[in-house]
Amino acid sequence: MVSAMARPLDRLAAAIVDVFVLLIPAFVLISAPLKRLMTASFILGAESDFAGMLLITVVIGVVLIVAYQTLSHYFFGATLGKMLFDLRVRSVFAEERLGFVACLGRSFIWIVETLCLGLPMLSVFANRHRRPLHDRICDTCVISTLNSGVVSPNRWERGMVRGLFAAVILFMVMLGALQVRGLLDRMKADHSLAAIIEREENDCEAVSRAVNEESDGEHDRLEVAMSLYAAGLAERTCLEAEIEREVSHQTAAAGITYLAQAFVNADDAEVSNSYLDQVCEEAPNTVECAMSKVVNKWSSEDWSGVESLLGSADKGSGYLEVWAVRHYMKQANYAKAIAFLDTLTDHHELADFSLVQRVKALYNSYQEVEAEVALAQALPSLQKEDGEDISAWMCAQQLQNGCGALEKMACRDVPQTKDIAEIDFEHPAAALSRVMALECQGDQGMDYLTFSEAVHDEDWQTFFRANLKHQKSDNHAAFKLYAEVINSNSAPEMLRVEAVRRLAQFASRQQLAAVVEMWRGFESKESWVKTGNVLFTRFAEKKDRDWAMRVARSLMNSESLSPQAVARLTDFSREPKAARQPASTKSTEDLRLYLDSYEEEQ
Amino acid sequence: MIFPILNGLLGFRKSPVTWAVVLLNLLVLIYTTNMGVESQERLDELMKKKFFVTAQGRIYAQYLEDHSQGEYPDFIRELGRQVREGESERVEMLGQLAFRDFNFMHDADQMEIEGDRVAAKIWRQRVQDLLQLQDDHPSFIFGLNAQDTSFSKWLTYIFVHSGWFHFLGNMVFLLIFGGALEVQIGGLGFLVVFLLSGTFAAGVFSLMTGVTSSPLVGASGAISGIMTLYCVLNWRRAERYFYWLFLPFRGFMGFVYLPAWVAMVLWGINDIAGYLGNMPELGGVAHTAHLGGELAGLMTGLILFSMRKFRPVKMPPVIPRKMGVLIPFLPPTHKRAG
Repeated sequence: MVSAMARPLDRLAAAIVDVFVLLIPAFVLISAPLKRLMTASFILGAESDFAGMLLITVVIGVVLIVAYQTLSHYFFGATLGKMLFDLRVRSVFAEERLGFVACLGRSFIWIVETLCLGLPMLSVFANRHRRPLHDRICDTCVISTLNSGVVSPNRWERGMVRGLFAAVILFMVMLGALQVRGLLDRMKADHSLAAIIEREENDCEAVSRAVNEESDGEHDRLEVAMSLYAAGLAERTCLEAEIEREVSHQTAAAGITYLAQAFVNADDAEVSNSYLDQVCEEAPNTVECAMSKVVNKWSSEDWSGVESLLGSADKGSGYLEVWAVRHYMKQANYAKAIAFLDTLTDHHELADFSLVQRVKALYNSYQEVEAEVALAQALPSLQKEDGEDISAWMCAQQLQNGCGALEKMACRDVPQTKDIAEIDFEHPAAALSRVMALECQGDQGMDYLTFSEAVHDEDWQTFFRANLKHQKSDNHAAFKLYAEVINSNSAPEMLRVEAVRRLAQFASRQQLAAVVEMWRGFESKESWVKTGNVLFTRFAEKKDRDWAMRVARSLMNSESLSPQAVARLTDFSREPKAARQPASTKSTEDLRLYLDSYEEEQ
Repeated sequence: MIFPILNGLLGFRKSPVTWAVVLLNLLVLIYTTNMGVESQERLDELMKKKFFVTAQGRIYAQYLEDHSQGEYPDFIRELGRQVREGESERVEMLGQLAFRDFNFMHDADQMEIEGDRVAAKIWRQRVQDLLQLQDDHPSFIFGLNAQDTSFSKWLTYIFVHSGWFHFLGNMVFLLIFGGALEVQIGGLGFLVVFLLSGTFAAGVFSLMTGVTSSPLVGASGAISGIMTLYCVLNWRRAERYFYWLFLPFRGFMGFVYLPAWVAMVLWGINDIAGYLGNMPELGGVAHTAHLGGELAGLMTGLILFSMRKFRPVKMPPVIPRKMGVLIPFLPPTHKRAG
């Protein structure tokens, strides 16, 4: 064995010179025409051509490295890099000339080692004769002609290599474990691998499925896509893809295409408005034209104009009805919403949307029994996730009236868990229903401290801290925290309403008056109506007639008084102070007159 | 990494013309940067708008179909065909490529466009905005582009750079090679070669790549000529190169003395590979302009050699004991003896 073995760093430097000064420029030059073809294939989406050329490029790279190393070692005993660093490759059998096969094998193994991130090469720091795998297999070694080489690695070098190996293996194991865990989590969330695959399908599969399911084939794809998009059952990309499809199949765009373009380009006002203007030029007196006008009215917040257009437009397109439902739900006009939902019965693709909205509309219009019936009818047909969502929503609403709701159908499916980690605070309805169910079940009160520390969402944190303060009878601090939730723009609407409900239980007159001011700023009509009725009820219970009347006036102006509130108001009107009023009936007009006279009196 | 250092940066007294050219480039850069900030921002904003680019892609596909006789690369025609057949994921790419087609962009008003009328109307408006912005943009005013291919542009483009990085990258090479060459052939000779190479580079670029709507700017073609001429005149002279082998150890960084032709060959390989490997339709570095400059430098060198009277001024020797040896961290003067 030669004593003056090459220093590992010299070998590395030689390899760097070979690779960066010779091999890479040569490879770039030789493979340049292929690179051009690969770019063209990539742009054109010719995947097989691209893969073929990539393979040829890799082969060229391998052949170049093998040829360069083999020939240099065989004829000169060193590559150019090694020559610069005075290194030579020798056979371990001192007298023997380096064989061609040994040189060839050495090059191949060198490539394999490089592909393994160079880890096998680290053995130059660890074995006695500083020979990495390719030297050991091919009976070669690299010596330094300057006689300045070192022989055996010291303890530090060996330790470093072993540590590095251990770190890499540990890293790989951790990476693998994380991957497996991620997959298991996804499978757990989606119940099956099939569900994962299904979810990764293009959203427009939804349109294809809906069109295939249609027995009469009455609606075209774009119309279906518009309906699904309106109902939140398809992404904007899906609608975009359907427009592309439509555009590539026709030479002149139709009204529906222009309308769809207006929705897809909603972020660019100039483009969107131009499309809306074009719809009625292309297709006057059609449902598309009516819809474009509705959108224009929406933009100018002309709600009566919107409703007049929705009322007079032709029905049957699906998307107009869905937007109408969404409009009326937003305006808390549930009777109209239900009326439009009734017109959607032919649209099987919108069944999930219709069922969910019907339950919400019925419940919000104080028809609890009908809502329960609708829920019972909906659950077997709905997707599991949608079913859970609407059940949780209704359960949370019903629990506001008392823990007896736990026995009702909506709450039966709410998982009974005490582990906060299992509560998904991204879904407010599900989270609130679980928390409220836990509160009902807890004999010794809830551990709000743990909840506030475990949850990451700031609004939920504040909500739990407010509950904690109230639990400790620190109502002043509780009021401030609840008020934070109520005023928060990021808090889910359900949480804001619930915060008002809880706050109203203990708030003083001044505090309730402050909440009324917050309530007036509510943007969601649904939350506004619910909160208003809670406040009216609370003022009425406190016999605070002035504030009760103010809240009642606002609610009555938008016809949003709940039946319970109407009953209470009727009771007020029968009381002696209002003896002038002939309040023997509960008609809205009578109550309005009563409120007018009360205000005059004040 | 290997980088030619030669004699380093020479002072203003030794290479005044080189410094004057650098200064001129700097002044032009400051002027054009101030002049073009607003139009550049608006151009970027406009060209990134997805609606505009996709509408353009679709209209360009129709245009390619209508102009089946025109000279377009096969892959652009194929891309147009795919878009016409409804492959929407290619529309944006085709829309981007269309920006370079001068005739298409300038035919916007006269074109008959089928299909989406709103898209056509908005596209036409925005193309007009784009062309107006280009009229005010320094790269289009001074750069070589299809709108104006007059001879003056073959010179003015040399002094315009697209940004500070572009400018700094070019000027480093100009100072190293330009300074060294000016010492050998004189200031006037340097200036003539610089302008000649730049003009020749523009000519080769026009022939091999073709002038498009995207302007050609930068001194790199002219600098390629300077570099090549220096390498030809000092063909076998050992020059100083800085090397760094990516590791912070002794021996992995320092100076190496290699013949001057190494720089020329490595530079040439880079440009030939760039020319062969990149699609000019996608823009980027103008390798053909570099090759033009290199060709001009090579020819000038050969002519100078053929005129036997010419002898390059001898430079102070910095030759080490042995060519090709690595001299880690040691300045050349330490190795002069021997």
